[in-house]
Amino acid sequence: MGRCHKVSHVQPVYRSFGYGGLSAILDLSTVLALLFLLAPVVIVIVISFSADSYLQFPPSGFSVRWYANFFVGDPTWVHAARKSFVVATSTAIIATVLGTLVAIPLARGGLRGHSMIEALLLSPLIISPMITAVALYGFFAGVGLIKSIFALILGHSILALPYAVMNVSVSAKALDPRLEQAAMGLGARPVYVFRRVTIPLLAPGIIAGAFFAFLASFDEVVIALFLSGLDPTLQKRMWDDIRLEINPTVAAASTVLVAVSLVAFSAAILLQRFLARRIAVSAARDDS
Amino acid sequence: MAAPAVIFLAGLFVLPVGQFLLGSLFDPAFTLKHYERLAESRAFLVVIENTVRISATVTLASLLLGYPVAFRITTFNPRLAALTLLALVLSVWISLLVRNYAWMVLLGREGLLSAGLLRFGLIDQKQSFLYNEFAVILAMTHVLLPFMVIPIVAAMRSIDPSLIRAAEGMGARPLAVLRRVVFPLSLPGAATGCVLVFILALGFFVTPAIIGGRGQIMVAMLIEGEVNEQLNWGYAAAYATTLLVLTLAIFAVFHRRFGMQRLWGGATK
Repeated sequence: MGRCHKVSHVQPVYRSFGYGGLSAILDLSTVLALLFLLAPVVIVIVISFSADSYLQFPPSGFSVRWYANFFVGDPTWVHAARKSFVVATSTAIIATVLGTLVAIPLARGGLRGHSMIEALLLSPLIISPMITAVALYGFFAGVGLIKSIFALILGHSILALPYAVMNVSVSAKALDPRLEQAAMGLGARPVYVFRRVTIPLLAPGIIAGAFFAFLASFDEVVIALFLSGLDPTLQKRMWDDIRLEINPTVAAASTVLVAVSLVAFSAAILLQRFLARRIAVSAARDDS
Repeated sequence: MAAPAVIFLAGLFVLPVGQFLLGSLFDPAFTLKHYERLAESRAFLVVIENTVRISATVTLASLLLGYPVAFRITTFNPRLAALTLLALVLSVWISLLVRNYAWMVLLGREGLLSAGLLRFGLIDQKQSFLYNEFAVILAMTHVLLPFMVIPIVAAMRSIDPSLIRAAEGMGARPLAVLRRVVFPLSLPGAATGCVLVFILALGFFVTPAIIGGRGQIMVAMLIEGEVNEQLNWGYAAAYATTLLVLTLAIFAVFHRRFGMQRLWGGATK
């Protein structure tokens, strides 16, 4: 209800900005900003279908030869993609479990050291990833885990955790505590309430958080440079190529990465909406 | 229930980072030699200057481009506003390496810019526009712009509409409302965006490393070089400590003035 109230009143107030020269400037800068953000990526996608053996725009012809090279020609690419997928999936699981557990008390408030915990969760995003990467490199070398895939998964989980927390928090803040109280009142044990009431109600945030945690790992470069050992992730594989020469296979790899981002991002947003609506519908049904 | 996450971060983040940074002071006994070398190093001073200069320029560019966009999003109808914000957030979730690579494709010798300028006779032969400060600032602004826009939109949306209605009711023109009501009340959002973009820019590695030239070496590149090439962890830790202290100092000033709560909304996309 609060939201409807706000929207209906903000609109007419700002309407006076809808006309005149000011509005044209605002429109222009918005269109330019969106072009600036998205057009370069679109150009990479177009060029990945180039038939030329070096990168030029516009391409002289179109082909899928660089995709053939990515998927079949050079097996190191698919190998790297597979490793990235395994690492990102494991990261998503760890970050989502830890993130859900910490997001619930954070959202409910009254937690001791609340702001300290928030600062701790946020700090890996604020501190330069290079500091984190080098520190973890030294740390895992010390405990003999440097060549292990676990080192990379744990490193990525540190960066992915805040995204999980953020998304679960949104659902946790919207959770009506009376639903849990009702279940307890009917004699359900706390663990049962957690499993059958709390978790299903938080599902939209948990699932969205898992997808974002997956992407945070899948697209991460700096920690992967130090912790992927001799067996590179897709990002590390791309980095090695970019530093040597501008090779069109990188454009095909980029398009694959953009596709993964689009799928994970849309899945997160759509599932979140779908599950939230389902919860709202069942809540409305219970009310009547 | 908060314990597992706290223990996880304490053991695998705070401990390793602390251990690494303390390496700048112990070798193995307490020493200040790493910081002494750092203080005497002309090259380090240049790199710090590069880092601050590039970060400040990127912050300014993001603010100038981002502020009007944020205001437009606030005044759009809800559907268009949601769509524009979605496009902004989506761009954040596209791999940073891909977004940087896109600029290499556009600005390189065989790229669109070179071909276009050649066709219009503005240059005589194909030319690369990479490996200079302009390219680095362009590519970094590309990555960081959404972090500027989102907090400003949040601040503008939280302005009490009755203040704007009151100003309009008393005869203020749109431009006056913008200048006297919306602008001052949006400043905390702009400050959040600036701090966020600046802090994130300070720690950048990938963009200056692949798009920058010799004049764009930033602190994170120095840390990488000490660890990977010089194998000197003490100096790497001294560089890292300097970068961290710089970051935390800006963060602390911001926290005192505005509180940290705001950063949550911005930093986590």
